[in-house]
Amino acid sequence: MNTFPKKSMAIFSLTSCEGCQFELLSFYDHFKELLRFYDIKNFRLGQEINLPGPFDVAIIEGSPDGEKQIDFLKQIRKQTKTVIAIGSCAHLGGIQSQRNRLPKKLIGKDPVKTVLDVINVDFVLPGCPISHTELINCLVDVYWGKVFTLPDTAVCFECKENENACRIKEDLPCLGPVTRGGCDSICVNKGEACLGCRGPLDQANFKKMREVLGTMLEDEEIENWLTIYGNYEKEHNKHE
Amino acid sequence: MSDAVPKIEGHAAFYAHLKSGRVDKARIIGMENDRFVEKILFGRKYYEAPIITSRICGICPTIHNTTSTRAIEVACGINPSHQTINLRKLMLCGQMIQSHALHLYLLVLPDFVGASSSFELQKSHPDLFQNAIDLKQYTDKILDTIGGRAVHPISNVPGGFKSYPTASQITKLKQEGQKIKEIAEKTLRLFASFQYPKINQCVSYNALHSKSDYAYYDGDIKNTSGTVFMAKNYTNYIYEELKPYTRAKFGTLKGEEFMVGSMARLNVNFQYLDDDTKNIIAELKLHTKYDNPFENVIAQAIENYFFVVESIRLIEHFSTKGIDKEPVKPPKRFGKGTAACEAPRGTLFHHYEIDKNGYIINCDIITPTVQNLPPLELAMKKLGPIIKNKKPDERTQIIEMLIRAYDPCITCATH
Repeated sequence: MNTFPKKSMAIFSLTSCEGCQFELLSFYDHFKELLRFYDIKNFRLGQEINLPGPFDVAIIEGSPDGEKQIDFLKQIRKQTKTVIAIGSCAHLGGIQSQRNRLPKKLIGKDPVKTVLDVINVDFVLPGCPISHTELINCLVDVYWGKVFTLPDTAVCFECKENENACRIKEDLPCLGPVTRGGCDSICVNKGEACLGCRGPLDQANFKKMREVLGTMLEDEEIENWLTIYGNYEKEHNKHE
Repeated sequence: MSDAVPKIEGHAAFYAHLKSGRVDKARIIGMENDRFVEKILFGRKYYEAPIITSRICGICPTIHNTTSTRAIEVACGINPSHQTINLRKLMLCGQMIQSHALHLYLLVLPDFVGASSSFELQKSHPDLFQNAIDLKQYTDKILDTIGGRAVHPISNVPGGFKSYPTASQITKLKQEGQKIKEIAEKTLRLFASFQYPKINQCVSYNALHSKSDYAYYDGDIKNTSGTVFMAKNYTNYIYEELKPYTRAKFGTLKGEEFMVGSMARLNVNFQYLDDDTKNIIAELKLHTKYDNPFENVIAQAIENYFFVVESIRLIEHFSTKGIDKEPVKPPKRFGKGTAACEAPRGTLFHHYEIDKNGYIINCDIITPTVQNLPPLELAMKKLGPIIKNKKPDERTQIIEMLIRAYDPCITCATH
């Protein structure tokens, strides 16, 4: 028996790898619990009969590319009470946004926009891929009318908790100091540098970060590092 | 033209024109937008290629990551150690089982048991649904243990691995093996019991081939018509062309349609399957050669079982021999490099050119779906006799079943 009224949910995918949808389905036991609170009305990857809006909650993955997807996104915004943008593509533009720095002649298309450039969203869940726990937490909070907030600490905070040796102290490049935490420093735990997929921290100091990276990388490499999943610095300045 | 076909990876529609009982026009139209992954790698350092290319696809990030790593290693003159190769092979087993299991249970099975979605399947056939979840969790554990994360691996880089699993993690994986093997066997029996529509598409098949094993990590490319070529010569054999109606490219073998994927691998490498798998195939009286694209589903179920057995073998190997903490090997030189691996959907090519300072100056990626779209259109044309007396709804359903059996990945095809 279901004692709570269910809310309707839709999951949409724009230009992306669709990996975040899979992250949602991993740890299926958690997802199953979620179905007690939500009715999935529209989910093309998983079901055949997909209903049109209005929805209580819409999850959007990917970056809007072209008129069609931009119109679609605006339409979703009108039909939906709570819009959640998930993943680096929706948040920062994703790997495809690197084409913004290439000459337009080569690509022949407009620069990549983010979901946030086109519509106002209620919540953003960053990361490439997203943290599945964070998404479940956010959806439960939304159901009960709570405001979900992202941690406002750098990746370094969790990295220290995990007792990793600091890469920067060892003269190895790492974007941990300017990147928003919440990922449990998963990349550094596995020996890789933080590449900033979760986007800039509110109080990120990019000037200092560049100075530090300058001692380890060539100038061109620094630009590359700061734009893997989107232009972090530009994104940071936008909100100041 | 249809709406976007549900339950496939990426957005694609189809168009089929039926005229006096024959399908005279068939098109598959990719609706994803280009992300220009090949172009954005231009001017980036060699080590960024596996990180960025793994983001081409969310279902098969591991295979893109591994193929890219291998191609970069060739370009940098790095010879990976045996342990590195075996760890990668284990990752690829995880990738295969995961992709096949999800496709079989969540995307294909609802068509056969009359459920409209995987969620409905969960209510009507909870036991079958649980099989899918168990298989997925097993592979998630493998990818998490070896690669560091289930979606988009972290540890695997050109030259080796940046972190290694502990002995206790390997033991945990080992404990699950037997249970998963039973589930994989049940899966194979289930999918062998269904009736599939019959068509013969009469095309040739391409798969990796080596003289000693069921090749999926390394080898030459062999076609069932007899052509054999090395991965580095792929441009001489595989032609990519653009069609006016779709953003996905179409790949042919010197202008001839050919198919890649599970059916192709079985057609080329059947003799190299292990005895366990061969016994079950003999018991169930399954084919040893495949030409009906609907039976791609059976081929996937066979491979699913084979790769579970293979993963158990590799885990056993690591659990007895242990894992050394080898450092990552640095590049010796920079140049050109090509590699081909077997992705769940077929042969995947990555090619890179790197300048003397380590920056990528050229990149080319040919995905399995690019190679599978031409035979898919051909197979749609052969559906005429089956669909001519059906209602429009049923026609759409059969065409969608065919497209789904091919397991296209449109996000890969329009990378």
